Amino acid sequence: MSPLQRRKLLIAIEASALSMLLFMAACVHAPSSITTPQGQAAYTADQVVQRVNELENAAIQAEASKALPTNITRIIVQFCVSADMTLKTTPAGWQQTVSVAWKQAKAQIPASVLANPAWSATISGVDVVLAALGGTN
Amino acid sequence: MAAAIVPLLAPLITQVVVPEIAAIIRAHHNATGQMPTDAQVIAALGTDADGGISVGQAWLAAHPATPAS
Repeated sequence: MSPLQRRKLLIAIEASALSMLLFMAACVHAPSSITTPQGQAAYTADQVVQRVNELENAAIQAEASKALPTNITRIIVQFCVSADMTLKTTPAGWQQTVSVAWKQAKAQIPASVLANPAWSATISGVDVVLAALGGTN
Repeated sequence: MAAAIVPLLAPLITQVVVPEIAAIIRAHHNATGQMPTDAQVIAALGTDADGGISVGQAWLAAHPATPAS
């Protein structure tokens, strides 16, 4: 591993860890103005939707710049569309469905893409959000 | 030591810390600076999910699966 690759990997690892801490701090406590179970579930689901949309946008941008193969991008985008639909329709019971879909999507993505420092932080963001909010990955 | 750390921290701050803090602030306050109500977060979920679905479906329609891709 070259010094540049090592540096990029270190940055990605630090970014993932920091994202995890910031996300946990932000999402564990919904704003105190949200008082109903429905509102709290919607708040949590919306946090996941935002991370899923970030992943979708990153994948589309990477595909447009030829940094990600179209077939891999399709897997990610299909997961994102499916996850958004589930989160919107079942904000209080999305965890199992979205987690299984994410696990299946990741299984189709080559290890070289998953290990790419440019992607690891974004992918870790989805991993973290699912692990933190009740799903498994 | 500091000279070695600064190049590592700069991208971390600009690419992770600042966007995450901005997201946290946005998540806890609506457009008028007030904390969101239940109705607002429920509406935001629908809006954000619809946005992701719309973008994704448009991309998928423009990039249909083929044996070569």
